[in-house]
Parts: sequence; structure tokens; C-alpha cells
Amino acid sequence: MSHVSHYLLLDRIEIEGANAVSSPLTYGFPAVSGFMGAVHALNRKLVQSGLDVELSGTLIACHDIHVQRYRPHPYTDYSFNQSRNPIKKNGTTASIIEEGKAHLAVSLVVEISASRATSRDIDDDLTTIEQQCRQLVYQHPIAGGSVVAIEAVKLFDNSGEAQIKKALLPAFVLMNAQTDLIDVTQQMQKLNPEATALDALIEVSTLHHEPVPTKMSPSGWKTRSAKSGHGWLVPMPVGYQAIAPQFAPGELANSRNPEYPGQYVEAIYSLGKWVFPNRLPSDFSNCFWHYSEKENLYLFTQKHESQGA
Amino acid sequence: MTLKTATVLAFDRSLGISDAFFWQLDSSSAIPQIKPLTIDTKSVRGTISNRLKAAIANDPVKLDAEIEKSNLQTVDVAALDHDCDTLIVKWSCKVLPFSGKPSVCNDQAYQAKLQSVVEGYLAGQGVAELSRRYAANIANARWLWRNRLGAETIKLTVSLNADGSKPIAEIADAKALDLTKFDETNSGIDLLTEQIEAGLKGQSFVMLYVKADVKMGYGQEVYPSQELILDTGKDKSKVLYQKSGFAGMHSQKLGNAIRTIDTWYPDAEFPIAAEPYGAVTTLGTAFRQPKQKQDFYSLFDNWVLNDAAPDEGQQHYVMAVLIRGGVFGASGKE
Repeated sequence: MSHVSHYLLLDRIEIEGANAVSSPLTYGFPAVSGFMGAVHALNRKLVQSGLDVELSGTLIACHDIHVQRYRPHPYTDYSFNQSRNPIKKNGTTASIIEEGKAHLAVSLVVEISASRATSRDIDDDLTTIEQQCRQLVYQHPIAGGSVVAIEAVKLFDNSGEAQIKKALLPAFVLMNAQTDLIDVTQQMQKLNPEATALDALIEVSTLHHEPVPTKMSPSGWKTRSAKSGHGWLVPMPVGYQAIAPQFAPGELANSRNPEYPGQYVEAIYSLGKWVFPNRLPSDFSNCFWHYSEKENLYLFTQKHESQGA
Repeated sequence: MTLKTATVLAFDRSLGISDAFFWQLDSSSAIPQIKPLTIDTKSVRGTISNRLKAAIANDPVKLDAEIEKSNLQTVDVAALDHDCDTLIVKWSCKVLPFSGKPSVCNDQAYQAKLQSVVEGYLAGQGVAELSRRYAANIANARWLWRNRLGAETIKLTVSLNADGSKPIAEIADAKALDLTKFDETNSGIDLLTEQIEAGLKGQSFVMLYVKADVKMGYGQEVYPSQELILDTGKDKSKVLYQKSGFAGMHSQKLGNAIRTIDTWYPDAEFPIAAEPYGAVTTLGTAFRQPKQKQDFYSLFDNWVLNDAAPDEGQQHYVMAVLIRGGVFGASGKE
């Protein structure tokens, strides 16, 4: 319908109690879907208020994260800090469902696509829309956590890249690291031709402690990781894959929203990468996460459909 | 078709309360410096003081042997520095519109009925009474819990700006306000009530920034929230809540104090938190037993499904539980 006319910068959103369990296998920073969902909700509310825009992409930058976890000793596993819920009707303690939570400070940059007429309206009314967006963001949870503070909400026109990158500092931007995953896989295949992307994903999360005797210390040890040289890589969920045919609206029992179709899915994993804003790719549009839907895949990608996912 | 409670039904909270964090200062200095209050760890040699079995307690030799054992413990502790006598606690409360629309509901007919019930309440009773009670609980500093007990004076400032400027309400002595009554007249409470009511009605977006200056005395211990860790190991028996070095209180704990407004339960003597079963964790008691048909689910289902509106007090209670938020769906299993 339209092109990217503006960027909306939501600067340093402080979120309390966000969901730190991002998928069945990973924890820490909330899943991309948590942020995209909040932006989607913002989109709907803006349209409802009469502003015909499409929030087409989201850039996620993290300033600070504090996962609610505890480790009694540096060599033990972490366990999540839980909340104790009110007692049951008979006075006994309610059973505790383990959940992981995190407090974080993130900045989101949202691509705003609008028709020419609408984008002129936005230009005429910058401060009102900024104010409106600020209130809407406050009123909606992000990644399951509540928004307790936002430093600034600012609209930039589509030439404001440099300013935005500057405003994001200091932070790390979450990028898709698919190429690094392919790279690591190929490296592994040199030694073991049967290695797959899954092996590479596990390899990236592994530290190898190897004895390396040197003259100085005959019993020296060295730590090796497939990550080294690739930057700050993290395994992350990037979408869902259908594992059963789709059910028509109302067909699936106990679904949350019977007015929509439903489907059983499983999470798919890939690699993500934390990148300092100064080192982002020169094509700024490649830093934004988008939804993409293909056959039985539902993915979050950072490339436009035209460029191929 | 008869109406049934939706199997998936949940409400978002309408009072979005943040965690509270602790600072400290010296009230007697000319230009008080505010600094963070941190958590320290200490290891103590405790005494054996638990109840012992009769066989040990009645045998002096065995008792001596037992008492000689050192009871070593490592615990987290938070206290004011020796040159600071005032604890500063800050948090914020977001008041979101309460319209009776559930956040998820898988039965459209039920949702329509539920919304009409809530709209009826809002048109008839309005949220003035609830707002007044929430305001009173902010003003009386009940949310400081144990920190309130040892305090000499508590000064409260509520502002609509994040930096605490241009306060809308100032309460000079929060300790003087009664914890058991909600009919006190106080200009601070009135101002807070107005704001909360406007926020719940959706007339304006309200975010209250609350700051308390609690005079405790130099070096006195203060009480942040304790963390619930299912697997603590053997190293530390008490872990306190902190974020980036600041001691803090969990939002759940503040929220529980703010919604301690229920004086409508059977044989009520003091306000309890609006909870589905009237649960008070510290007393280990549920004050609204399903047997008496005075618990949330009995009242709520009767009201929505059978059009049997309870009396005024119970109506307030049911709405307070919805404002609190939670999952209220009827599972098929029970």
C-alpha cells in the first residue's frame, strides 16, 4: 500500500516482569514475538483512533536486562525467583507454576508505512501523535511485562537513520545471525560431513575446555568456542512451524479465541546476534524484524519479502 | 441455550503497580544526599532455639550436647547506613480504564453478558467507593508493611511526573491515618481518589508516582521483599530482592496492600485484600469460604449467570477482584 514514511522511536522503555522464558529451550531475553505483538497492538489502537498507518517493522535494542534468578554458588545452576501466590480456599499454599521473569530496558524503533496523505497528516501533528503513542504504550503489556517508564517517544522522518542510531547508544541491537549459523555449520562439516544446523546450534552454546600444555604452565587449559570471531551469538526462537493441519474457527475445543482459526505448532530456532548500533548494516531497513508467512512456516525475519527470506 | 462460564476467561489488572525501590538520606544534614540502599550478606552463629523432642529436652546431658552445636546461617540483610536515618521508597501506579472487558474470553455470548453486568455496576455504583479505598491505602502507607511499624514519621508525596515535581498530594504524617477505616477525611486522600476515579473511568491516563520519606533512625534495619527460590542450595537461607544494587519490594506485595479494601466478608473485623477466597497469607486463613457462598466465584457466577445481583458491599468486592485481574475461567474438570 505504501512505503516507510516515518520511524517511531520508543526510547528506553522500562519493563518490569517480562517473560524470560522465550521458548521451550531458551531463556533470558524475551522472544521477538513479545515485542512484535506489542507493536501490533499499538498498530491496531492507532488505526482505531483514525490514523491509517501500518507499523511494518520493529527494531529491538536492549540497554539493560536483569533476569530474576538466583545461583547459590558460582558452579551451580541458576534457578528462577518465583512469586508466592495467595492461598487456596482451604488455607493451603497454592502450587507454584515455575515462571521466569526479567526486568529490562529496551528501545524499539518502529517503521511506519503510510499513504502520502496520511504521512502529511503525521508531519502536521507530530507532537500529538508522539503523546498518543506514549500513552498507548503505557497501557499495554510488552512481552508480558508492564511498562513502568518511557524516557522519550519521538517521530523521525525516513531520513533520520543517523539520529536514531545515535539515540540508541549505548545498547545492543538484536539481529538475525543466519549467515553465521550457516558458516559454523560449514566449518563443522569440514570435520564431520554429517553435521547439521542443529549440531551447529548446540556447538555455539558449548564451551570446550581443552588441556594445552605450554612452557610456562605444563598443565595449562584453554577454552574454545565455535562462537569466537563471530560476535555475540545467542540461540533464539525465530517463529513457528505447523505440525498439524489448520482447524477452522470454532473447531478446536477450548481455544482462547474461537473466532479465529487455530493450529498446533512447534518453535523453530536459529541464531541471533547482539550488535552495537555503530556496526549495524549500512542498509538500515535490514535491522527491522518483520512477520513472514509461508506454507506451514510463520517466521520473524529481517529481510523484506522481495529480497527472499 | 443456557449461559455457561467461559472456560478461558482472564482479566488484566487495572492498577499497574511497579516494584518499589529503596534509597536513604540523613534528614539532619543541611543538604541531604540521597544514595541507594543496598543489600549485604552476613553470617551469624545462631542458637538452637527450636522446640526439641521431649527425650532431648528432659535429659540435661543430651540438651547440652544439642545446644553446643553451632547453628550457622548466612542471610541477606538490609539496613540504613550509620549516617542515614531516613528511608526513601519510590514506586509508581498506573491506573488503566476498567470497562469490564476481559483480556481473553472464548465465549462471545458470555462476554457480552459479563460486560453488561459490569456496565450496570459502573452506571449504578460507579467506582468512587473503590477509588476512595485504594487512595486511602496509598495514603496510609500500609504498603510499607513491616517498615511502617518501626517508623517515627512517614511523609508521603504523590506526583503525576516521573521526577516527582509538582506534587498533587502531600501527606505529612501517614502513620496518623487509620488502617481499619476508610471514612477519614483528608485532603490528600480526596485528591488521590479523584485521580484514581478518572483513571478507572478512562477519562484520562493517570500515572501516580509515590514517594515516601520514612524516618527510621540511624542504622536501623529495613525490610525489602524476600525472594522465593525453590532451589536455594545450602549456602544462604534468606535472599532479599534487589535490582542493580537497589533493595526493593515486589509489586505483588504493594498491590496486595493497595487492594486491602474488603470489609464486606462475613463477620469482618479488619480490611483484607480483595482475593477470590479472601485469603490472607500471613494468617493462613481464607475468610471467604465457598461453603458460605460468599467467595468470589459464587457471587460472580450468580450475578452474571442468574442475574442475582448481590448486595452493595459484595458488588464492590466482586469488581475489586476483577480490577485486581487474574484467570477466572471454569475448567471443565471441576
